[in-house]
Order: sequence, then structure tokens, then C-alpha cells
Amino acid sequence: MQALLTNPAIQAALAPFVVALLIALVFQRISRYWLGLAIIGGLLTTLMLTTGLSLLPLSSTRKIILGSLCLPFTVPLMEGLMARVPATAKRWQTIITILVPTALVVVAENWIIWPVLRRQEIAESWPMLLGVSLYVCAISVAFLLLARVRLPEKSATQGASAVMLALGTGATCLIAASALYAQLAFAVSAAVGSLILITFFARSSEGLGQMSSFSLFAAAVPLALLGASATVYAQLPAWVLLCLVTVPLFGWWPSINIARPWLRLMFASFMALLPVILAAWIAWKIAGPVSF
Amino acid sequence: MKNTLLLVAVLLLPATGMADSYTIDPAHTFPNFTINHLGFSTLHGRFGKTSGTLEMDKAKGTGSVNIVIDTASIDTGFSKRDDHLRSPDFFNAVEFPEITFKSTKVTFKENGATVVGDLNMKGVTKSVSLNVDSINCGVHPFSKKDVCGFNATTQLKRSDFGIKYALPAVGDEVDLTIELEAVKN
Repeated sequence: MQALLTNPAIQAALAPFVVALLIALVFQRISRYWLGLAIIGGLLTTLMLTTGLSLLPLSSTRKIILGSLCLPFTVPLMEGLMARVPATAKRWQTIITILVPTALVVVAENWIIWPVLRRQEIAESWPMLLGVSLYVCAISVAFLLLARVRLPEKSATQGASAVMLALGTGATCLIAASALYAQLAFAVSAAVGSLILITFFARSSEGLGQMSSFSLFAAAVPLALLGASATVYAQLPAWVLLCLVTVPLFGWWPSINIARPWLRLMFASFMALLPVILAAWIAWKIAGPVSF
Repeated sequence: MKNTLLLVAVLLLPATGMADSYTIDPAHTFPNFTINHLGFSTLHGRFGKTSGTLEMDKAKGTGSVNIVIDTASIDTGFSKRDDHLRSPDFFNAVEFPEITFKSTKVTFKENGATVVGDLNMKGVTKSVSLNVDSINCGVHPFSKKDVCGFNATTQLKRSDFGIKYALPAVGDEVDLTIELEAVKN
């Protein structure tokens, strides 16, 4: 049993998938909005199996975990607060519901890379600061906008984008010599996969792959923080982030007019896979082959 | 008479002893480690950049050691593995660029010493005890400077310092040897 639990494939794929599926089965009956807790559960499972749940000392990796566990809840918090705002301010509701969580993710990423920032002059560190901030901002905004898609033929893009971004982040982090970051990203991929499976069997009228804003943000936060931090603390080339940031866009375009939901999901996944392949190739060319 | 007594006192002053201060010679000081790799073999590695200071007063039986190790200078003979060791999975060299050892107590033995001190690695500080078999001091044949050197050994658990990745496949117990030479100031 111990040997099984130390297997990286079990730690990063099977275990988080099973835990996420169990959590999703419970919340499928309670509230589909909170299915994102399955992603957090999957992430915690992998963390428990790899390095343990201790948060002290508060290293950069532990800050990523803390951010990934706490920040997703800002979305339901903002949505709940904005629901009290008069209907005439609906446009501002949308903007604030997207901007505030995004801003918090940007602050979190700066907090994560603070040990490096404080050792450098601002003239030396601003490109890195700008780059990681823009990346986490773009990923957060992209997924929060994706969450507003409600057409069944577009719903596949949500699940596909989340899975492919997770796979891309994991693969490129693995190439960049951080297996732990890769495992955490793969755990998100497995957890999102379990949610897609739930929507498949539930035959939701909203479509296969449909995820709530909370679920999408719960996936986006760890992936954004891992990808950005890997350019600072691991060997991930910054160019890779330029490819990964387009994953949600490739999942969205073109307009998918395929009848069968699972075929629609596969097509969206294939489209979102294209920038992932490019990202992995760039990482391989610059960082070199994987060897552990 | 008074002048004679004063002269004698001044001449005797070094013998009543201030500690000798040394600066660690980075070209001849290397922390080395060995660790079990997947149960197949023992992996050897070392840190290539070290600095620090040493103080010794054998007459009084006191001393101190301060060692600063550049985390990124880790070298196991394979660059991709070294990259992995520098990553957040293990030492996280970007966030924790230095490993430090500061002695808290030095106990001289017949020819060697036991050095107890605080080892700080990856943001965690733990007390470790270094065993020094013999302290060898003399005049360097080329530089003509006073040099002291020793090998200090200890065993520690990497998990105690929060380096838990790949346990138990990659061993928890690490044998550490610090081969140190220092030049008298």
C-alpha cells in the first residue's frame, strides 16, 4: 500500500481523481455551484501524498498551496456581495466580480515571489514582476469570462480549457525540473476530469463540460500560480507562458457546432491542446530533456 | 624595574590568548553528502561554493565556526539532476540561496572536537552535531601562512528540514562531510 501511495502516477492522477469524484458525487446532489470543492480536494490529496500538509515554514510552494485553497472562495464571496447591488449596476457587478478575485491572485503571486523581489533592484526585477502579474491576471480573467458562457455548444470549452491548461502547466513544469509543481498541476487536471465525467453522466442541459465560476476559478488559481512561479523558482522559460495563456482562447474558437456533446468536448480539447504542444516544445528546446 | 615588568607583560600577552581567527578557504572547503537513491546505489554530491570564518583558542578550549554554503552550487555530476535539486522540489535555491551553519558550542577532544551548532537549510533551523576527528594546523608550504583544516561529519534527515519530496524512494538520511581548510587572518 505504501509503495502504491508513493507512485507518482497515483499521487498526481488516480488519487486526486478518485477523491475529486467522490466530492463531486456528493455536491452534485447538493449544489452544482460548489463542485469546485472537488478540485480543491484533489489538490489537497496530491499535496498530502507528496510533501505533506504542513504550512510552516511558509515557503513559496506552501504559499502557492495556501493561495490555491483560499482564493477560489473570493468568487462566491464577490458574487454574493454583488447580488445585493441594485440591478441597474449589473455591468459593474460583472466587472467587480471578475476584477477583485483577479487582483487578489496578482497580489498572491507577488507575495509568492517576494523572496526574490526583495533581493533585487526594481530596475532588475520589473520585467519578471510584470510578466508573472500579467500571466496570472490573464488566466484568471479568461476563466472568469469563460464561466459566463451558457450556450451548450460552448460549454465544452470550459472543461476542455481547464484540463488542457492543467496538462500544459504540468508537462512544462516537469520539463522545467520541478516534478512537484507538475504533480500539483496534473492533480488539477485529474480533478477537472472528474467534474467533466459528472456532467457527462448527469446529462445536464447546460452541456458537457459546463462548470460554475467557482469551479473554473478553483482550477485557474493553482494553474496560474504554478505556471508563473515556475518561471521564477524552476527552469520554466517565460516564453512558455505566452503559449499557455492562449489555451482558453483556443478552446473558445472556433464556434463549435457539433451535435454530440462528447465529440464537441473532444474537438474543444484538441483545439486547446495546440498551444500546449507548442509550449511543451519550447520548454523542451530551452530547458532540455527531462531526467530525474 | 617597572619597564621590565611591563615588557614581560606585553610579551606574555599573546600566550594569555586571544582566539586565533581564520577565514575559510573556498578553494579547499567542500561540503559533501551521500544519500541512498531508490535503494539501488549511493548518490554522491557536493556544494562547490563555501565561505565563512573559524575561531579557535585551544588553550582555553573555545572556538566557533560559521559556514555559508551557496545552495545553487550543488553538484552531483549530472546537470539535469542538479537543476532538479535546485528546484522547489528539493533545496529551492532561488528562494533559499544560502545554507548556513553557526556553531553554538565547541568541545575539543584529544585531537579533534565536537561542534554543535544551528544548521539552517530551506528556511528551517535545526541543531546538529559535527564530529571532527582531528584538527590539523601548520604552515602552508607555498603561501607560508598558518592554515588549519579538518573533516567534520554528521548524519541528518532531510525531512527535518522540509525536504520531503520523493520519500522514501530517495533516502531520508544524509551523510554529510565538510572538508574544511581555513587560513589564519
